[in-house]
Amino acid sequence: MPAGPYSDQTQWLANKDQIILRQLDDATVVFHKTSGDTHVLNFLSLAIINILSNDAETFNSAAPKILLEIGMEQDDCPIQLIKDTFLQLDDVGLIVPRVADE
Amino acid sequence: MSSVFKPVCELSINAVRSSLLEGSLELSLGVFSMRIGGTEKSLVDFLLDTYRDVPARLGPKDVTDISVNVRAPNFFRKYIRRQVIPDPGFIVPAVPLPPRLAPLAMEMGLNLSVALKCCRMTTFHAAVVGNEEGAILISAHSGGGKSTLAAALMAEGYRLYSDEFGLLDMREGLLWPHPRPVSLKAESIEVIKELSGDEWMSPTLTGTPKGDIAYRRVRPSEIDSAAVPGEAKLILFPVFSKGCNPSAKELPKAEALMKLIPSSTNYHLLGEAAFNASINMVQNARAFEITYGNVEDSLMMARDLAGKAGL
Repeated sequence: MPAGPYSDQTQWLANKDQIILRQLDDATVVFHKTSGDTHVLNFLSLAIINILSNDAETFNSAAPKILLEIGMEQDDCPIQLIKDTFLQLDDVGLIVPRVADE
Repeated sequence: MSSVFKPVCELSINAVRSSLLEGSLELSLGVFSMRIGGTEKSLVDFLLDTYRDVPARLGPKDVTDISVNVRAPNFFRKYIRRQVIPDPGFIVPAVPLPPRLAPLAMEMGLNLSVALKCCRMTTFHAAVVGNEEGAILISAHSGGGKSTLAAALMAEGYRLYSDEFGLLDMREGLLWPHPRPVSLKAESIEVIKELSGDEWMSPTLTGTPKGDIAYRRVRPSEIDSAAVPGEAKLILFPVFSKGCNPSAKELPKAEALMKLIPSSTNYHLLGEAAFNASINMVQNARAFEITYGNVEDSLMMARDLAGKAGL
């Protein structure tokens, strides 16, 4: 369940220690240790996780890097689709908003 | 009391009966030892008939993996309008059955115990058969025909690993046998009788909550091989659709994995180890969804796909 609400300043992170990625032919399967759930990732979800595994990013800073990673333009992969995918990944706990340091 | 394992059929009826009354009849089948208790004559007859070749011993005091007592649900139902339920040592929502269906209560209790108490292996609700080359895991919803197909493949010479569970070892990635009798329902009973011969079938239990049920006995050779695991080479997802044309569709491995996970009773409990073992199993096997309208078609497709998988 998403923790929202979020703002443009919310930074997102994919915690590498909490997930295991495995390749099955041309599909990527991910195991989320916290929930015990297994998911099949599409190429966009995988790109988001890859980008957010390196550093926490806001949506606006991550989106161009994600488009670069999947080799697509905004016309082919609308920003709204990336935003929806962020929320889906947040929903299952594969990415989380980073809590600001006190 | 004997502490040596002997086939059930070599034990006297009185010895089996008194051991059941004490709750100390131990059966050993593959990866599980099972302690059985019960007071019903129908249970004694069932064990002597359907479990006749299974190693058993009387009166052991060792710890067993599973313990099932077939008993009355309460004091009154012990004497008035008698009923039995399986008591696997934890609370389960069991429908009380008449005493003549005590064998069914025992089978339910044993299945629940494996499904809910096994933490050594990842358990999938599936039938498994195989040969010296490897194993076929057959995963289906209830009524999908996995037991019927498994019993039909037994008639083709495949050995039974298990009718109800795919038991996946998490270190070796191998499927382990637990060859209890194969539970068959309704029309499947006659079909398998014809394929296997009357002598391999138990008497039919009529009027159960699931209709008529009979069991296909396990062969002595399968009991002897119960400590020999195998690698899954073929995963089948049978779908029964009356009167349809048979068809087989190869599934991407990720899809096969995602279809198997919901059939596991302990995948979430075992977590990462179960994930890795399941991935490795799927990685090394071919997976197909087969849609069929009769047993002949499902058997024909399974035979063909087994050949393609090198089995």
